Parts: sequence; C-alpha cells; structure tokens
Amino acid sequence: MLQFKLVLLGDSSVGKSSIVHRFVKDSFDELRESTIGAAFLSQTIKIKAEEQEEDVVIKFEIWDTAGQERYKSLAPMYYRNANAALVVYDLTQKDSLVKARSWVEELKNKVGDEDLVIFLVGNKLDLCEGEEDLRAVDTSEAKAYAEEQNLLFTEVSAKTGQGVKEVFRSIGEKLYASKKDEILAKKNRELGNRVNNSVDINAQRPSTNDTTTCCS
Amino acid sequence: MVLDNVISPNPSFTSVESEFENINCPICSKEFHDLQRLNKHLDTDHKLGLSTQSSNEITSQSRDTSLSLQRDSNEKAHISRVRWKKPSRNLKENKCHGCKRIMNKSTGMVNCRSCGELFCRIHCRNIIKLNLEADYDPIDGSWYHCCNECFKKRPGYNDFGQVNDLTTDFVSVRSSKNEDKKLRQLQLENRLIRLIDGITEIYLRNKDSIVAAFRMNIEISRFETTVTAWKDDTAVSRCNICLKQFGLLLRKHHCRLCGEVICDDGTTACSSPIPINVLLRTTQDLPYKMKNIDSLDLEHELRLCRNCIQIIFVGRKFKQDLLQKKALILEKYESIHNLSLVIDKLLPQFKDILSKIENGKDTNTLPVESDIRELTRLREKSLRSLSTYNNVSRQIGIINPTNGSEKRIQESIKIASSKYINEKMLPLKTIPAILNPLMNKPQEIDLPQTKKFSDLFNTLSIKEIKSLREELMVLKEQSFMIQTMIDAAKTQRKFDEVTTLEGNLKELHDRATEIQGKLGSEGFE
Repeated sequence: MLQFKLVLLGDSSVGKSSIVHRFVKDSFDELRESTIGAAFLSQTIKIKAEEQEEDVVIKFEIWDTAGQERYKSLAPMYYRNANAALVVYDLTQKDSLVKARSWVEELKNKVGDEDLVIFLVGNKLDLCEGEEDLRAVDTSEAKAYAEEQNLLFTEVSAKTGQGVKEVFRSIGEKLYASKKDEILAKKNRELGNRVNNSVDINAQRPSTNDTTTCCS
Repeated sequence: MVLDNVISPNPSFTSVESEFENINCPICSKEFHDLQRLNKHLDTDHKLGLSTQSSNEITSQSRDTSLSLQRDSNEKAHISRVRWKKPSRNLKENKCHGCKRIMNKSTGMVNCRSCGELFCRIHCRNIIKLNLEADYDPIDGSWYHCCNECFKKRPGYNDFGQVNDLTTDFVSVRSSKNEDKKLRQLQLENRLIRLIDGITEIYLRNKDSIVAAFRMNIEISRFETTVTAWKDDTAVSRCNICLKQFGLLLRKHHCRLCGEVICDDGTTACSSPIPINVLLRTTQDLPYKMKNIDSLDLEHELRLCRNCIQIIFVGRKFKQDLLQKKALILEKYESIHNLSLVIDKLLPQFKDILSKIENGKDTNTLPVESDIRELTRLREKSLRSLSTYNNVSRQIGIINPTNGSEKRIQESIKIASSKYINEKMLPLKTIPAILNPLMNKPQEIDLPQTKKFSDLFNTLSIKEIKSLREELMVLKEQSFMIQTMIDAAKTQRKFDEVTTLEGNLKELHDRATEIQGKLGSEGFE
C-alpha cells in the first residue's frame, strides 16, 4: 500500500470540506459548518497499474484546512511534506480564484519538492448548469492559468459528486507514476532475494513507507 | 623662567626697575608690580615659558642675579589683594556676602581670594586654582579659597564637575604631527610611483629578447638607486630596525623606498620583497602611468622595509576596514551611546524643574501646572529611554563574541551600562510626591535582574505581538482539536491515523513553544 499526504487549500466556503466528504464518505451536507483549524480524514483507493497484474492500493491522508484568514498560519504545517495539494476555488466567486492563485504561489515558493502535485479545482459546477447560470469564472481562464503554472485542472461539483472521484484518482495515478520506479526497484530486489533463498528482513515488514503495523 | 633672555641681562637694570615697584612687560608694556608676576606673565601669556621642570632650574640659577631682591623679601609670592574688600569699622555692617548674616568671631571673616568680597568661613570654603593676579588659572595657578559664586563662575564648570577643554591644544599638536606624517607618506608614494613606472618602462623596452632580459635586471637595480639614494652600507653593522648584527647569515638589504639598510630576517619581518603587481593592486589610487600590468609577465619584486610598508599601506588598509560593515556589538553600542546622550540631556532638565518646584514648596507657593506637566513629560521620556537602554545593553550581553577583543569590549560595556542605569535610575525611581497619581499613573519600569533568555531580544512591535498571540491561540485550538481526533481514532481502533495525528500534535506543540519563546513576557499563561 502506498501512502500519500494530501492537503486542501483555498478561500473560505469554496467547498473544500464538501469535496473531501464527498470523496471519503460520499455524502453531502447543505448546511456544513465552517472548519476550525484543520480536519483530518483518510481514504484508500485502488488504481490500475500497467505493469502489474494486481491493482495498486493508495491511501490518502487528507488534511482539510480552514479557509478563514485566522487559520492561515496553520497552513504551512500541513502543506509541508505534502505529496499533493488541492487548491480549490468557487466557480461562482471571482475572488476565490485570486485567492487560489496566491495559494499556488505560496506552494511553489515554500515547498521545495519538485514532485508536489498541485491540482486546481473549481467547485460548485452544479450551480453553473441550467437556466440560472451563476458562473463567474470561465473555464478557459482557469485552464490557461493551470497550464501556465503546470497544474492539473478540473471543475467538479461536491453536491452532485461530479468529477470528485476522478480528481483523487488522477492524483493517485500521477503520484504512483512518479514513485513507480522506486517501488518497482524495491519489489525486484525482494524478488531477487527470494530467489537467492535468503531471508530479507525488509520483506517481513509492510511495504513502502507505511509506518503503521497491526498493533502499533 | 626666561626673563634674562628677554630683557637685558644686566641685573642692575632690572633691580632698579623693581625698586620703583612698576615694571613694564617688554612685549606688551603691561604694568607689573614685581618681577615674579612679570615672569609669570611672560611664561603664560607670551608662551615664553619652558616646561615646568626646566624653568625651575633656570629660576634657581637666575635668582642669584636678577631676582636676588625678591628672594629676601618675598620667598612665597602672595596673591594680589587689589580687589579685597576691607571690613567696615562698624561690626554690625560686616555681613557675609553669601548668607547676609552678620559676621563675628565664631562665623569668621574671609576675603574670597578671587572676587575679594567678604564671606563667613562657611561660604568661602571652595578651593580653586588662581594665579597671582587672582584670576582663575587651571594650569599654573595655586590653590586658594574662594566663594561659591567664583567657584561656579569658572569657565567649563557644570553640575558634573570641572571640564577643561584641551581639544584645541591637542588638535594643534596632532595636526603638526600628522602633517609630518603626510609629507613623509607623499614622499614615499612619489618614489613608489617613479619606481614602478620606471621599472615597467624598462621591462617593456627589454622584454622581447632573452639577452636583454638578463641586462634588464642590472638596469632595474641601477634605476632603483637613482630614485632613492641607498645608504652606504659599509659603515652599517646592524639592521636599522631590529638592531641585529649583520653577518654571513644575516645579509644587508636596502629598502627601495627609504634607502635604509635592513635585514631580511623572517621572524622580525624587518623587510619583505613585494611583487610589483601586488603593490599596484593595493595602491590603485596612485597615478601610475600603467594602471594594469597584470597582463604583463612582470615578476619583479621590490624590497620594502617595515616602516615604509606601515606608512604606505596601513592607512589604506584602515580606510578599507572603515568601509566594511560594523560588528553587531559596535552597532548596538552606538545606539546605547546615543541613548545615553539623550538621557544625559533630559535628566538635568528634570532635576532643574524638580528643584524649582521643591523650592517653591518652601516658600509655600503652589507649583505652576505647566511645570508639573513638563516634569511628568521629562520623567516619562527619561524612563522610556532608560528602559530602551537597558534592553539594548542586555542584547549586547548575549551576543556571541567572535574574538577575544570583542569579548573584552562586551564585558566593559556590560559593566559600564549597568553602572550607568543604576546611577541614572536613582532620581527617577522615587516618584516625586508632587506628581499626584492622577496625573502620572505609576509607571512600572521593570528592571528585573533575572529574565528569561528569550526575553532579551523582545523588541517586537505591538502589531507583531498581536499577530503572534493570534497565531498562538490558533495553535492551541488546533492542538485541542487534534487531541479529540486522536481520542476518537483510538476508540474506532484506527491506530494508523493515531500515529499521523500524534505526529501533527507534536508539530503543533513545537511551533507553539517557539512562538511562546518569541513572545517571552508578552505571551499569556
């Protein structure tokens, strides 16, 4: 099992918690209270890997931070060492994209990790359909920005669940792709050891960077 | 004293004059009562005096001739009594000029030696140096009693004591010495320019052929002697600087700038050969013909003695050092020095107003409100300056000294500043009773001796403190949240989550203590 740290950033009331809850619990609450500090959730997904017969299990440790300015000082603690960051904005609020841009900036400046996957997510897609179109941010505009900054980009709806699962899946695939070489190398070494008929201590332990064991 | 040199050495002439009790100064024709005063006048006013010791010697010799009369009648010269006031016949009228009391046997009656007024003994107790004209003379005068007024009237007198400004004397001595030094430096620099210009020229002329290169060295050394006359070394047996005997092992060398004969002992570094391009690089301000000979393949060296190196290069190095950034400890010292200037200016003002009000109390007049306001303002200002002073001086105390001398400086500053604070705090500590508590809220000036280490750098602005407090509060909130999450995860047997959460809890905790440290005494709890 692979384990990745994922953090959600964005202006307040853009729907970060709703996206996480849709992903983790597949539920939606119209009257969600605003998050205090940062909430922690975890979820595992399976993705298909090309070289391997079996699916790869990925566990996300998700830190859902509060968007309010008051909690801004907490954010560095959670995006530090993160493997992926979801920068969320509200499709019906122009200002929220500005805020999202500043988050992207901060991430690029403060996190030295080249492999950090940043996913720009526009939420509340459900409000942009039908007769009452509340859309304030054009898809093209956000997409251009994402391409310029080399970010992944999509528009989702936490309410309907549209696109949410795909976000996490593509993050998982991207992360797996970047870590694949390490993992395969390790696996091959284990196999090699087994052929040599010697005992590999590492083989006794759970694979990869999963520090937990059954009775820790 | 140089009287004999100035006036005619004929003793009879002077003695005749002295019988008339009036002598004119031969230079300014000022009148004098006796020779000794004239002597003093010549010594001090016309600067004819030699140093004290030698003039005493001359005195003892010349007394036999010109001052023979004086010696008999007037062994110790008396101060002029021209200004002295005579006491009145009517005893009731003899009042002390200071306290206006009638003087009698028990109070005593003395003339102030300076102004001549009559005083009772108590009010004529100060001593100052006066010359025989009864004028203040801090250098050549002798000690005499004087009244308070004359005591305070002296030029340079202030509350802290007597200040004699000798800066101008000092500057004149220094400037003449510096002038000499500069001339010497200019001379040496000119020689250096000529040497280097000449050598490069010879080099450029000869560099193309190998035969010429051999001849070149001879030509250069011949050229060197034309710029600076080398001292004849046959008579010299010792190095001019270290005084070591020359011999088989210690060879004679000539400094190319001053021409002195010196050794090349490595331990004393009396002289050292310096490559021409190094010389050029370090003295780039000089007007050489060829500014850049690095490109040339010139490897000639000039032997310079230690003194010349000192004269030419030390000043330059000093200037360069001045351009460099000052050490932190010195920067901080400068700021406390400036603060001390402010405090020194404020405190006398404070004391003046305080004494004015206190005097008013004696005569039962109510203090003027503007005075009280001013007093309060001055006191607050001084207190503020002092507490800043205290803060900065303690910052100096915890700077890590980079070398031994910095450490010594640090120690000295520490001692001096703590002394200064104690001294200056004293008058401010006791809140004057006049300042009623409504007008002046008792200000807590805290100078606790033991404070937390981190407090010392607590120079945060109020805004910063606010934001740090806010952050600390958020951290505490979050810690609490995480703790509840941990508990929940434990009950749900999600132990892998517990590990992650506990890691985060620790991180939160570390950050909180860090901020707590930054805030120091400004934090809560």
